[in-house]
Amino acid sequence: MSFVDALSLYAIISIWLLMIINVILSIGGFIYYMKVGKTDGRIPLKEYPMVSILVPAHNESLVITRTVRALLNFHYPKDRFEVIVINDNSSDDTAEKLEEIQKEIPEGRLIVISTGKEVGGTGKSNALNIGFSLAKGDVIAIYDADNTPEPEALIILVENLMADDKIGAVIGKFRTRNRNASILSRFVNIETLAYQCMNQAGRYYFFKLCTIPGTNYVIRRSIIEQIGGWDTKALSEDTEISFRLYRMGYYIKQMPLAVTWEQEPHLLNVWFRQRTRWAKGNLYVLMKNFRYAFDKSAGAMRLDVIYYLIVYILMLSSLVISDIIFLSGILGWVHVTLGGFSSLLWGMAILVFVFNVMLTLATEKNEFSLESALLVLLMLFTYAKLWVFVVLKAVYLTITDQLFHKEVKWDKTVRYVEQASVKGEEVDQVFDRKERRKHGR
Amino acid sequence: MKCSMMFRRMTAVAGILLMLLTGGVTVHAESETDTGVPDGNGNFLIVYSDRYEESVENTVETMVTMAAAMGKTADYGTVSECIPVLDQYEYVICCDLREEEESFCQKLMDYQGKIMVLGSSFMKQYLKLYGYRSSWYEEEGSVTRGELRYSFLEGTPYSGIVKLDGMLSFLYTGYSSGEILIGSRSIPFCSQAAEVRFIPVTEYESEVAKAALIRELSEWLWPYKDSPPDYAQYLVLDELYPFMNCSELKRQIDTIIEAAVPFTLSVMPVWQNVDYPSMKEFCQVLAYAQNNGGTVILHAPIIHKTVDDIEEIYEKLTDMTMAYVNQGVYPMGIQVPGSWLNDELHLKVLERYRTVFVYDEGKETGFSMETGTSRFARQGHQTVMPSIGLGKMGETSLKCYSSAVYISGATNEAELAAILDNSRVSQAPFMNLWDLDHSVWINDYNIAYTDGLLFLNGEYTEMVFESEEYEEDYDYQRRMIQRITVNLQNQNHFLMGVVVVVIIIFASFIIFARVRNRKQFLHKEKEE
Repeated sequence: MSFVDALSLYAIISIWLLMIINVILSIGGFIYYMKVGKTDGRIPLKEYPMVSILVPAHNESLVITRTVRALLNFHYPKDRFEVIVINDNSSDDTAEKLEEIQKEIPEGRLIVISTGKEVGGTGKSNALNIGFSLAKGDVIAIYDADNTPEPEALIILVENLMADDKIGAVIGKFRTRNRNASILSRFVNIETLAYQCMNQAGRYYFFKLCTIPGTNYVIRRSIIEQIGGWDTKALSEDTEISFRLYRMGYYIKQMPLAVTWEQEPHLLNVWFRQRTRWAKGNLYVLMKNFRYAFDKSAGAMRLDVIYYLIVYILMLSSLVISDIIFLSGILGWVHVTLGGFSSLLWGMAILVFVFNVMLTLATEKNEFSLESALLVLLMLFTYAKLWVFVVLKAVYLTITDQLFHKEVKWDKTVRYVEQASVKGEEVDQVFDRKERRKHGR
Repeated sequence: MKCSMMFRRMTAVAGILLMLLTGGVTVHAESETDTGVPDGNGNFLIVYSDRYEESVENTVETMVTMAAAMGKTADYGTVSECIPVLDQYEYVICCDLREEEESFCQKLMDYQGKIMVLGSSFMKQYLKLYGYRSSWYEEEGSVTRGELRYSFLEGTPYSGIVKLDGMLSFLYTGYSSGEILIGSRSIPFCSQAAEVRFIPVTEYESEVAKAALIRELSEWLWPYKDSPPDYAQYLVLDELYPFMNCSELKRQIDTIIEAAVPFTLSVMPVWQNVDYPSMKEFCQVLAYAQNNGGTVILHAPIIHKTVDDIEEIYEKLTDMTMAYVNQGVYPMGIQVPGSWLNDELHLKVLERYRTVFVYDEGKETGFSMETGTSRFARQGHQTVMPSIGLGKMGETSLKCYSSAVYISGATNEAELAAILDNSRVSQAPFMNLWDLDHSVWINDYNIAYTDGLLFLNGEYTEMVFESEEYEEDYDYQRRMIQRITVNLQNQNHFLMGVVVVVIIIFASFIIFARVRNRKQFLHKEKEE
């Protein structure tokens, strides 16, 4: 067996291993979705805890108004929640926008903390820590500044959190509000549904493991106090806090009926920077928690560390290797002489990938179509390839940061005014309609 | 030790010199430059239309390759290419010609050799010129399909659907073979009209039609009044890997020996890890088989066309062959895919082998109508083509060319027993490869088997099987991954099964989710 054969074998085994893991997770996720779909996700409480909703906002004037209005519109006892927006060293008119809303809401349920250069502007974790210092709630909810959560989202999350003391946090589902903005946002929408929601559901169903997605989640105040707030060195504070929760013996629940709609990047450069930050953050978490992969006492958390290892080491290396071999093969530089190594293997992998993603889309309304199937296929050869470059850049940055002791820098995702602001309006109208229906109006 | 090495080298050099001086390559290398048009040197000529269809190409390829297994060389070309050389051939086949130029027909009228016509269109044109009256034959131009029934050996005829370009049958026929049923009518598959052997079929896609054509071709090419000699079939245990389960292989070999069916073992090429005990064990089994009537041939390695350095290929083949020879196993020939017969580089490699087994790899063979002749046939190999398996177990019913029945090394006991049972009663004789002469030339080595004696570099060598010890508890460092590499194809089959199951599960989940979504949607609409 030549060196190229060995590499090919490694790539194909790795890719199929990942494929099988995803298939299993999708099956689990689907069963969980169907189970949850039979209910309304509610577990009514005798007494509802005080909830502080933290919204870090850095130059978010384009989206903040809609987000805050949606948050204030939650179907949750009005005197039992507060919205704390951390206007984190914004140089735009975020402060003015927030002031306008504050004037409309006299009850003081909207608290705005504006930070200057001295204490703010160093990232989401820092902003959350600042917001947390003023939070009164026993439960902390986190929403990104570009979110439009559905009115029932918060109550579903809180009720599920309070239903079991072992649950440290409950995460909801997030959907792409601007999915039709560009082909990139359509890919992001598909990826979000298949690999962030369905995959999470599968992990929760089988192993009670979930990774906090950074928005639309609730967590117990006591836990944040115990862990001493968010890690300001972490770029993926969500993943980081998930690992800390596991280590404390809590588990994280996913509740797909608590939905928030968010704006996803529709431009390649914006997407690339966001994903590089995520990947870099995840690598930081992976390095920080690597030792737990070999620690039996870490329990189910080991699975998650291994899962991340598989994604960032196995998947990355196998994709890079298979692409290099494929291109070199076309150029006639290398030849794979492995017995049974055929295009059939790749064909089957593509077929499974398409079916896997289409299964997820079938569970959502208005997502399953022939067009989507073609997009999934296209995505495999375009969008999925970009992921390799994202991770490679993240690895490079992580190494250079370590070598030159660079400070962790938060790279904020650039927002834009949605062309079809109407689309957003439509989402709001849907919520209003739901609300009217509920109250019999 | 050093003396022994020196002696070996000297012997090798002497062997090579001897071969060079005596033109030691036992096959006839083509020295003339191919012109791409028939040159009159082949045993027969196939003429096809200047505007031929794809089916014609397939028919020509079938005839050309099978003729090689009969030891004949076929030349082929378009009507215009063939007119100048027509007289140089004793046999001419007009393959699915349509209305052709008068000059060609006239040339054919003056032609003194034997003619075979495939397809009715041209036959009618020829007969008219020949002066055949329409009352002497029946025709119906609209007929395009018929059912062929053909008996190859004693027993029930095989049948298959064939394509025709009109029905044509003669009221007076001197030779008749097989039948084609068109509705309630029956016409011969092959018949004789005037001086022409005629077959109305224009496509030979079905195995029966292909076999019938080859049979008729062989009969027609035989110059004497009796039947042509019988060619044998060979039982080949195929794709034997050096690191396979040797006890299972030994069991298969014992079963075949017990059944008294001559057999050949096609071994996969290796050049790495040849000193492993498992290779030794494998070769022990092969040597055992060799001493019990079995012959060994080397399965062709995968050679990429981009590799154009023939010396590199020779070197690899030398290593691969020596890996076996050093362990007392002597490959007597090579087994190659059909594509090797149509590729310059591979043909050059084949010049070093007298005995060539061909297998169908299920891919395009690269046959070209531009070549004008079969270079492979002209190299004069002892060729064994894959059998056209009309029987249940793939056994052939044809005795007109040398054929191989390939059995996978993974065949289970019951299947092997059934194949052997069929072989025993087969009317096409099974032959032992030891009954033929062979020669294999590798870089500094010549393996020759002549008159039942084995010569290595011209030196007589006795084949004696001596059981040797090999390390049974050798650590191959073989973990899960290495095990998978041994036979990734089996893993593919397993994966295919898994994929089918996954797709079924996913498809049913998708249907379930879609139905549920629709129900929920309708339910909410009603509520509203």
